[in-house]
Amino acid sequence: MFFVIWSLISLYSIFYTLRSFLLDLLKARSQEATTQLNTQSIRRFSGLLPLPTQNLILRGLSPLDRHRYSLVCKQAHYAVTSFNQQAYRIEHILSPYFSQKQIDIFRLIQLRTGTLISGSAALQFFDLSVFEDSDLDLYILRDWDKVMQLAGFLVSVSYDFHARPDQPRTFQDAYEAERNFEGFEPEYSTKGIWDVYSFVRQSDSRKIQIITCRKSIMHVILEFHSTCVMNVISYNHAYALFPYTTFVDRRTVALPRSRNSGFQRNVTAQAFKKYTDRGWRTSFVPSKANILRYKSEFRDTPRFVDDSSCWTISLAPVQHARSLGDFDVISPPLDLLRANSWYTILTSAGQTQIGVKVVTAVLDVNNAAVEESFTFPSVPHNLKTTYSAHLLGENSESFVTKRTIEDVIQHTHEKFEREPDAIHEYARELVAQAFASMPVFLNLEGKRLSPSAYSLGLLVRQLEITFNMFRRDPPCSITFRVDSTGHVWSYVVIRLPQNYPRPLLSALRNSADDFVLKHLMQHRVWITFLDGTQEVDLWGASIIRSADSMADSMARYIIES
Amino acid sequence: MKNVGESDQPIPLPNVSSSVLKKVLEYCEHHRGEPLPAPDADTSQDDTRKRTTDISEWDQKFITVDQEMLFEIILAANYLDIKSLLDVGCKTVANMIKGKTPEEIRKLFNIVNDFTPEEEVRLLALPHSYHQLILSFWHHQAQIKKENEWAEDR
Repeated sequence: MFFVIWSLISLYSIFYTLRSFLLDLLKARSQEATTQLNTQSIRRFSGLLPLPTQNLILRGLSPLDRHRYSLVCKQAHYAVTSFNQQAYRIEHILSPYFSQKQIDIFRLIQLRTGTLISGSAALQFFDLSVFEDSDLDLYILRDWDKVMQLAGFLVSVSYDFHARPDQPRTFQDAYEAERNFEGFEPEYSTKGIWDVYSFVRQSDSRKIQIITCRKSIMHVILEFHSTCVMNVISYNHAYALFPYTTFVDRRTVALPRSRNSGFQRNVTAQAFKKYTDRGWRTSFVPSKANILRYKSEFRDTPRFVDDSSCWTISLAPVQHARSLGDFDVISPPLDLLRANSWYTILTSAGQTQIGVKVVTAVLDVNNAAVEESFTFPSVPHNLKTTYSAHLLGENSESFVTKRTIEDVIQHTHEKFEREPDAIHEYARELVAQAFASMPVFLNLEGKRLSPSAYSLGLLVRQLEITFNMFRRDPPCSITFRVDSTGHVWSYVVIRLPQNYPRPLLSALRNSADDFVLKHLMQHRVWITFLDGTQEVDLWGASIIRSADSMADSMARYIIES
Repeated sequence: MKNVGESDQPIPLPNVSSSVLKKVLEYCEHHRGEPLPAPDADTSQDDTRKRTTDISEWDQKFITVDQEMLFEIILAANYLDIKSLLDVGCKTVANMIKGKTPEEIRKLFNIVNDFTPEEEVRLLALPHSYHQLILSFWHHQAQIKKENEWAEDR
């Protein structure tokens, strides 16, 4: 009996020990597994976040940052591609105003009437932002049939015409009335606009504005107060004309007209405030980094809609037309906008001005011929010559040319979409590199100093002219120094090649005459030529002495590098 | 946890470690009582639209953690559907990416470049580096042209 009890106790004891051992083992295994899991979770983060969170990250990046991110790895590339497909859909900006079915009909009307979406709506499309207080601006040529088609559609989807106090009560009467400039809202005060008609939906106060243009829609767009609103959406494409400035620099460059009235200045100031409140910094010139970029949006050669500096997004065509009778125009052959071009210049007074070339009149119903018209609304009077047109890349003969729209577009692309001159690019790259590595100059109040945008552009052009005189690009160094008045000078040293031919000196002298030299000096650009260690006195000693005195006074300023 | 409803039973959170949960609770505790985002605020827009929410000073300090913890917090906020925390986390990651080159981003997140050389050439065909390549070629061509012109002149 005792033996049986002892055996049972022993067995229990063995069983208990074994159980404890097994439990400990399991516990250890479990701990090990937990540790492994933690390690894995840490390792898992040696990479990107999972896809569901990617959109939230990507929406906070600029288009350029998103592009760079897409080059990181395949997963990032897939994430950005997927994001872009979701983000840049026309439905995002139209859905607050129309149902999906109405959007399709609206887009077909857009195609048939040549209506363009611009203003805040187009800006939101590219920027992926949502402005709660914005409305939908539709730009259309002043043609009764087209305007009625668009207005009729708006009325059919519950929008009512809301006349301004100075407008007749009915839409037809308002359309036929004389133009009343003073009643316009600030942004619509350009001469190219005939009138603005507001349509409001009673249920939610959503507002759509039809803006009728006298001759050319693009002329109106290119006469906007500043660059951030120069975005247009046609039926099949969305174009941002100054994408780097607007979406990377977050800046809007003011484009003042030559003879602004007090009223216009006031309304323009109001328009600037609106976009400043929405996160854009207003300036009169683009950033210097932007000016010195390859194919800058503000280069001094002509640009056109859909050129390589534009940001163009193709929009999906309407798949299933529902109620418009004529469906054979769903796939348009060509976007007529692309026939329009413009150029910008930086003035020595620190402003940016724009000149435009627009297609102004369709001469027959089949669009068989168009009349091209050049306008120089902002360029100073003394530039309005055939020679200046030629210098700016325009062909004076085309002032009166009549061609088909396809010809104009093809001609524009062939003529203006040229790669920059190689010597010009070499000069630009030199200045850009020097500017990027410029020390930090502070004045006594701690304000940062730098050369003006105009002087940097001037320096690039002068270097281009000078380098053209050499058989091989000479060694060249650019430094920046501050004078006693707190202005930054661009100081260029160009070394002449050994045994250079004598005619080179006269060629150099001819490339920068007294007038050019004074202009360079006025904008604080100083160029010195060295023959070995000796300075070559091309223009006489008087100017060189002034450079020495300039260098002496620099020590007064704080220079941090 | 509206899908679970009121319950005394423990809620399993297999994807959230205790240290991260502690941080998440700290965030929720600080923002307790604040109004939730309106349920229909974003229904017309998807998650590709920008939000204007600024990161408050407290949130900024709260989210200043090491990268692993930041990623864990984002995942936890995503799993627990805490939108404001998710926004703060993702915005912080976006700020880390801004202005960096692809190589710098790879270093930052310890990512391996898995593009083949052919894919990389195709992808880089659009931006700056391609232009640089072409430019150097043009410059070379222009230099030759200039030399020939000089030779003819002389």
